[in-house]
Amino acid sequence: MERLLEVKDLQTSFFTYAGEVKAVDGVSFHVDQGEAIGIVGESGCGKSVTVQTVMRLIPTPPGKIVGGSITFLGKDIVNLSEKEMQAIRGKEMGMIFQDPMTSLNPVLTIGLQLTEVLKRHEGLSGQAANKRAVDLLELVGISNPESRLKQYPHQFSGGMRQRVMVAMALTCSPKLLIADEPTTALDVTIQAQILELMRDLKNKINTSIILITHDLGIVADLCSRVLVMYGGKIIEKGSVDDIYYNPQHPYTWGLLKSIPRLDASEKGKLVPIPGTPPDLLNPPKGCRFAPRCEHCMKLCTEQMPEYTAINDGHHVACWLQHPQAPKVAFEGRG
Amino acid sequence: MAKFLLKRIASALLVLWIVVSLTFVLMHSIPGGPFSREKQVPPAVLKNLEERYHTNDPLSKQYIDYMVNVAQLDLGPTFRYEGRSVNDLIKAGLPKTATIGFLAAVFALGGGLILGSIAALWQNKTPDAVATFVATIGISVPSFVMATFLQYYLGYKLGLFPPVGWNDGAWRNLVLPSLALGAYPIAQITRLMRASMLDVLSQDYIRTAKSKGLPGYVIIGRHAMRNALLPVITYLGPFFAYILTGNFVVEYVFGIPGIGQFFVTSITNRDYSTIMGMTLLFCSLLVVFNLLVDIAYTFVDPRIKLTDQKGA
Amino acid sequence: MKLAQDLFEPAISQISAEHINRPSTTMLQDAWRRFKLNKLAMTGLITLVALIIFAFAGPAFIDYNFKTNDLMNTYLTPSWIHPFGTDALGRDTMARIMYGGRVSLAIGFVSVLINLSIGVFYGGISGYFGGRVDNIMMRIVDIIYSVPDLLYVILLMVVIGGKGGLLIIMIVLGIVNWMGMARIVRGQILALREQEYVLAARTLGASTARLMLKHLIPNALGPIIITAALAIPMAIFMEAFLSFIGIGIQPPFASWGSLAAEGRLNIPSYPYALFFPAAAIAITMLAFNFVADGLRDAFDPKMRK
Repeated sequence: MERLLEVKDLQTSFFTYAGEVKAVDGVSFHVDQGEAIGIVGESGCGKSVTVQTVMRLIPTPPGKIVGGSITFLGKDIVNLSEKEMQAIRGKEMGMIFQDPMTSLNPVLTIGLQLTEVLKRHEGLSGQAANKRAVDLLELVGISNPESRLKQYPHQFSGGMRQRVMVAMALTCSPKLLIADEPTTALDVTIQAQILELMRDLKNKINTSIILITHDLGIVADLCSRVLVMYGGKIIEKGSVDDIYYNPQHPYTWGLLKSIPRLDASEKGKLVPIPGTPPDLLNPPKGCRFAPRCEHCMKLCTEQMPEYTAINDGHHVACWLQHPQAPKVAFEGRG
Repeated sequence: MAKFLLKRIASALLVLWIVVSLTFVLMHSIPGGPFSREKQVPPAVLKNLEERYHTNDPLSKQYIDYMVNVAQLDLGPTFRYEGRSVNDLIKAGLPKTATIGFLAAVFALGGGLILGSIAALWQNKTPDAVATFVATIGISVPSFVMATFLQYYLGYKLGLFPPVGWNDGAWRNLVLPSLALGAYPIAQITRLMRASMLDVLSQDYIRTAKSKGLPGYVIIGRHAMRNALLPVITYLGPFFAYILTGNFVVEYVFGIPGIGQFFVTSITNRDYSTIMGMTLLFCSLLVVFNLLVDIAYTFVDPRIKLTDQKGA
Repeated sequence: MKLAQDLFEPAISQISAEHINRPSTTMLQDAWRRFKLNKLAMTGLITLVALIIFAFAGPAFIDYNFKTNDLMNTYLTPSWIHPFGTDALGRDTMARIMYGGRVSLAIGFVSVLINLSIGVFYGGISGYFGGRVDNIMMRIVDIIYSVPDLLYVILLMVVIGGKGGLLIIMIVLGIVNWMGMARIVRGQILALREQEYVLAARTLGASTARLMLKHLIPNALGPIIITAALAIPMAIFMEAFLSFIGIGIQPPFASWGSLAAEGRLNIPSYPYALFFPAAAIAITMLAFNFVADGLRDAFDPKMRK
């Protein structure tokens, strides 16, 4: 079965007046039909830029795809013309953004923002389009959809707006849905609802999902595989079980340790990862995580670590995997 | 909505009343009456004039009389032009002023919106540089300089358009004054539109629109435009005020007998009643227009509801 | 792949955990740095400085002053002796432009100083106290604001102006224009006082005056400076306008506006008398606009690259 999306060695940089910022520096992954994967990492690690590059949404000055390939449904995304991309966006690929308040146009009705997609990609208009829009709103769990069509974004609550975003992205039943931190701006309870919604829809429509988040906690629920990114690179990838039960990279350990746990003792402290993300204008020579890693070795600061395969599908980029390196165990979770 | 309107009208009337009273007080505190500019007037004639115009009545009586008249839309006689009332002057001059003002407004709004959008869409490239340059010139060069400049070059030197005169509204006579009047606002609107459009284009909802596969012209025309227009609409109030006051100088320079010119002459002549009448007219027009702008704003931006809340 | 074993020794972190990438600067220093980078803005600034020197120091270098009549030499075209020509009474135009420049520029700066003081004071109080005080104060401003300022200026000049003295014009312009500044200051203070550092200072026991002077106003400086920078050309323009229609500066004193008015009388035959003062006004306003734009960009935190 052909892969839905294949990204090989993607490099996206931003050319600012201060120099070239390598936001995505050699990222490779794939997504199959009907599966959900998660991309996890801190702010600024390149996860949003990666998926926005897949949809060619990066503004082209100052951004640029400097290397690598993206293949979607057999098509070479990097070299498609803008017009051809417009045919794919909204139809085969859809995206949900982080902040539903700013991501919806405040002066247009929800109905219009839904039907314009239908008009554009499926040639529907008028009554037919409105009917489909109503169906979509129902699908995402919004009550009184007919009257909602004529309302404006500011008349919806945060959770409902995000549902509308989901509806908008799914209008044409795309093969791939990209959710860029869809729940970060929402309350925890609403978070759960949106995630459940996404899971239901994935099962109903068999759409593939890329879920981006900085919260490892929500990934396990929805995704089967996880990519952990740091400093523009993927530092560990594997199945959810691999990552949660056999994490190998110190950064992944840091992420797992910093999740508050219901069963932790009351006296325990939350453990943050010390330090700040790397400056992508002048990235460090070796491993990007080295300055903040408590297991940092001299080798780490001088050479970029290679990928080691732990098992089929579980890969880590860390010098601790080298046979000559000291053995370090993860003391975080069971 | 009705409550809002009533409130606004009430406060508008308050403003007008304050303005008229202030103007009245100011006018009558000038040493030397309206006739002190005349050549030596024989005392008997002077006495007659004073009686005719009631200038010797106690101030309070003059004030009340005036207020009563104003309420009946009678602005009184002018002191300068025998036998003509201020209302007459206004009737004669307003259409001319309005024509030029309207043309200038159309020029400024249309041109400004287009130039500003172009500048934003081709940011930092040649069209942007040109538009911004033109805009900066328009903002910096004062209206009377622009007016005299246009008059000299296009009027006298190149003879393209008649440099002075109204000529019964012949279209050739309208061009230079409208251009001169519209120069500053078109620059202002261009800059405003450019900044606004740039801001809108960087918003998240534009990115969402793009992610839906909408083509460029739909994104600009439907998603961006309406949002970008909002600050421009807010500018319309001061814009109108500018057109009003800018007319003074334009009519003065180009010799158009509109209310602007009458106002300026009435100042030099210390013609009280005309000054007051004109001031009242200007302020009324402004107030009405501002109200209309506020109402228009609510049609464009669905987030605004008409209450009496003034934005912070 | 076998590597040297010592490469696997633990390394001391080269970058400290809390490494800060840029040295900190004060807001003003930062803004000045950004301003300097802006070529247009710097050009504007240099032009202004040049104009000021021209107007204030210039007369020391030339032989003519603005009063000497020389009826034999009226309306001369520009030449080496009279670089800007002469006017209707044979006075040297360049000298008159220099003196006129003093007047116009002085009026611009002083009236804005007045307008700044009133505006910052009024707006500061209104914004700081908020609530009813703010409401009433702003209502008053709104009412006064409904009338175009040009109208006020004209009316006031008609009444008080009389002979159009320098001081009177400065005061009138200052009095009429403070409202814009007051609004801006009030808006800033209103927003700033909700910030946490104000709350922090308050809990430490800072008095109102201290809060205002040390915390609120310095942080509002950005928009204040920009508004002032825009107010100066406005004031110069208004004075020029007034003189142009005859209720500003009267001869033999000159300002650029009055010179333009005189020059206008003879356009078809002798355009130079109008051209030079008009150019002076236009260049000044252009320069101020570039400077103001530069200031706006320099103070805008969103432009931080």
